[in-house]
Amino acid sequence: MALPIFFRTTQISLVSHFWLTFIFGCLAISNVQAATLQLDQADFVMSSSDTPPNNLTTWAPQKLPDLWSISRPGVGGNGWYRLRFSLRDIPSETQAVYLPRLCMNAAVYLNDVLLGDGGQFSEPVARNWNRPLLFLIPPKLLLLGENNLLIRVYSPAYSLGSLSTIYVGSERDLRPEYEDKFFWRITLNQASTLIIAAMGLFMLALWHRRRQDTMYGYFGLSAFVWAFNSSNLFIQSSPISARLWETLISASFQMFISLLMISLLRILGLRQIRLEQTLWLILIGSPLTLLLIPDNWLIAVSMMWHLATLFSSLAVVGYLLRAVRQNPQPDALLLIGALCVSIVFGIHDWLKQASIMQSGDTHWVHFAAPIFFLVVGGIMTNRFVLALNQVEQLNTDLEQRVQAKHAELETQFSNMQIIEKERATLAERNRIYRDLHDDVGAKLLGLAISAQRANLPKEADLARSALQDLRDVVSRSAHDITPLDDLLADLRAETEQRVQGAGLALDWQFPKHETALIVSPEAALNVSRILREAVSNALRHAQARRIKIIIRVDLENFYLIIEDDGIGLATESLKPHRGMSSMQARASALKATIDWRPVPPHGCQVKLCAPLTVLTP
Amino acid sequence: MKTALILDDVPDSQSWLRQALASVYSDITLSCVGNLAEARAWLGSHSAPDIALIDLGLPDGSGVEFISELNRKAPQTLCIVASIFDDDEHLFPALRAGAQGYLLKDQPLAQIVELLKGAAEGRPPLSPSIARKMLSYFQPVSQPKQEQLTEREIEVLRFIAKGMTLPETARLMGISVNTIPGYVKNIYRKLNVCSRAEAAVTAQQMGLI
Repeated sequence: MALPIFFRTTQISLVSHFWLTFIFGCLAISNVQAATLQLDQADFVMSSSDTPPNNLTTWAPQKLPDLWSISRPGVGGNGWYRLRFSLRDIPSETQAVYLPRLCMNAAVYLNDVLLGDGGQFSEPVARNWNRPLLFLIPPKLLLLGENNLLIRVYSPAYSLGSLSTIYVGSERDLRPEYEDKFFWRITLNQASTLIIAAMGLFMLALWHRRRQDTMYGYFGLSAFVWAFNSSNLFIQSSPISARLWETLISASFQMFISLLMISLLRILGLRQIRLEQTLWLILIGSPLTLLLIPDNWLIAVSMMWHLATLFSSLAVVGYLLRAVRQNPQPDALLLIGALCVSIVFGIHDWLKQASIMQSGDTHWVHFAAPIFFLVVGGIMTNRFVLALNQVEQLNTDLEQRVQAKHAELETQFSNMQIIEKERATLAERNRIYRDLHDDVGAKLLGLAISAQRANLPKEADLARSALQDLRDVVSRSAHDITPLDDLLADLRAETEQRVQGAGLALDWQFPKHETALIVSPEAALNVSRILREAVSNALRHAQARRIKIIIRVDLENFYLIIEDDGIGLATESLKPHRGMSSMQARASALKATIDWRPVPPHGCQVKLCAPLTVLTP
Repeated sequence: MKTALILDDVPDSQSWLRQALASVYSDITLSCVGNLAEARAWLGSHSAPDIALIDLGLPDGSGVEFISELNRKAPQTLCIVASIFDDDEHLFPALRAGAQGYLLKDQPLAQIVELLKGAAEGRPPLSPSIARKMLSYFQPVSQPKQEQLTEREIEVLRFIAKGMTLPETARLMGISVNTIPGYVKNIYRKLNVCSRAEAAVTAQQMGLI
């Protein structure tokens, strides 16, 4: 998180920089003390000499401020300004000469004594075009009466030579004014250049880590080029020749704009091959042509490139507008706003440079760049933060998914344990089943067969019903929940066989309607046993001819009625015998009621009434 | 019916089954074996019997194995399961292997006799639980089967599965009670055909064929 915070603070300093520059720049109108002399009437002469011209020179009057582009277009070299002022008394305070603006270098002579200069006049010439100069006057140099101030201004033909109004006054009055100008034009620009260079470095580092995001690379490069370009505002002695420096500075502006526009198009995902090609042409063509052409074409050609840059920027605005119309996004709107402001500033500067428009001494486009870096930096930070948030979100999602999977695995594991347990139970049941089958089953079968052979049908039936109980216990399907309808179907088939086998008739009445009831294994076993026992009793003791079985289901209860037309219940039979008590035990397991009663004209009825809630699992 | 084979390991039930068979077919030649190995040996040295009563739980394996062997070797042999268990879990594999009937050995002799007669005359038994098993075996129509049940056959199975007797089924379907066994026999045949086809496919998939 440290990175975005750093980035945000950078922006804050940039924005404050810009607004402070703008507001105070407007307020900082020359407000020189009344005691100060303001000199705007001068004589001028061009001279190649490094020393002040002699008295034979023919001076021409010249009003200050003097812009060479107007007073002597295309001229370069040494120009000498002579300014005269007279003093009625010698001031006691330290006096100074203040040159608010000039181009390119100046030296000041007072009464033929050199007060100082802005740097060397030979190549590379010192660059003071954006720098105020203040020279202290040694005491005793000022004369009562007329004083002669000579100012040597050097400007190459390709530069725009100029000299503003000159001030002579006490250092106490002039220094604040000078320092103020120095702060706004030099110190502040140095700071902003450093900040923008740092931002460029950051962006390039970002691009280095994410090569596919070329927009960061272009943006970082453009920031660097801009930092280089704005160093022109405060660099006094360039390491290379003035001509080369001038060319590179001029070209760097086009390069900066081109790189910035390419990065803008890529930030918004607009692939405009033609436009990008044009921007590349400007990017490479501008420095090349400016280096190759003769000196006196320099200004014209660089103006032409400025114009080309302006138009390509307008084209970028056009594409942005189109993109916004198709897909409105705040990023693009913000960029369009910043671009429009910058373009207005650019047009202003271009018109000013072309001497079509006169407006102060400030170049506006330098204020546009911070706006731009602010907006683009903001957008990129926003994207960075968004991406970070997205990663965090994805991380959270992933964690949740991992947790979900973990839970799923645990469930599966416990399911597996259950299955394992079931498997073990099944194996155990099979073992018991085998034992029962082999031993008990065989013995019961033997018993049933022997009883039949000995013509003991009751004993045979007893053995059979025991075997049937065994079947119920070991039969695998008896351990699952059963639909009531299936249970009844099986019971009917079994009872049918038994009753018919005994030579009786069976009248089986199913419930009136099919039911969707499910019966638990225990309930199924109990119902089967009760029915079987009741049928056995009827077969064994009742001497009946037919057996009627009625099954009914209402909303609350399940009814099982077994009726025979036999001899009925003898009073001594009413005392509970083993069969009846076991039926009662099974009925109470079902929370059911069971009762026996005679039916007219003769016979017995067994009625079971079991609540459905107990029947179902 | 001239020859019969009884495969049962319990002497009591062996003799019981002999008695039942002898009372149905008076001049039948009866052979008894007590386990799978003996049964295979017997089959190796004799021609296939006309009828075979086979117990499922044998000391050296399941009678189902012998049923499918016999069914493959001599499809004309009438295979009948003679067991003390008649739930579908026990019987269905035997029916798939080719058994054409089943009887509970503890049933009264008269009923066993009746059952044997019925099976020989093409009236195989069908309990509700077996009918349900048959339905669920044939039910997923999406699963391609060698043979599909006809509407009528399915209807028969449905009634029996609900516990209806054969006469009731016939009455509910509006057909003669004598035609029902034909449907049941056909269902048995289709079950066996499908099982064999499935076994072949499984064997092929396992690379056995």
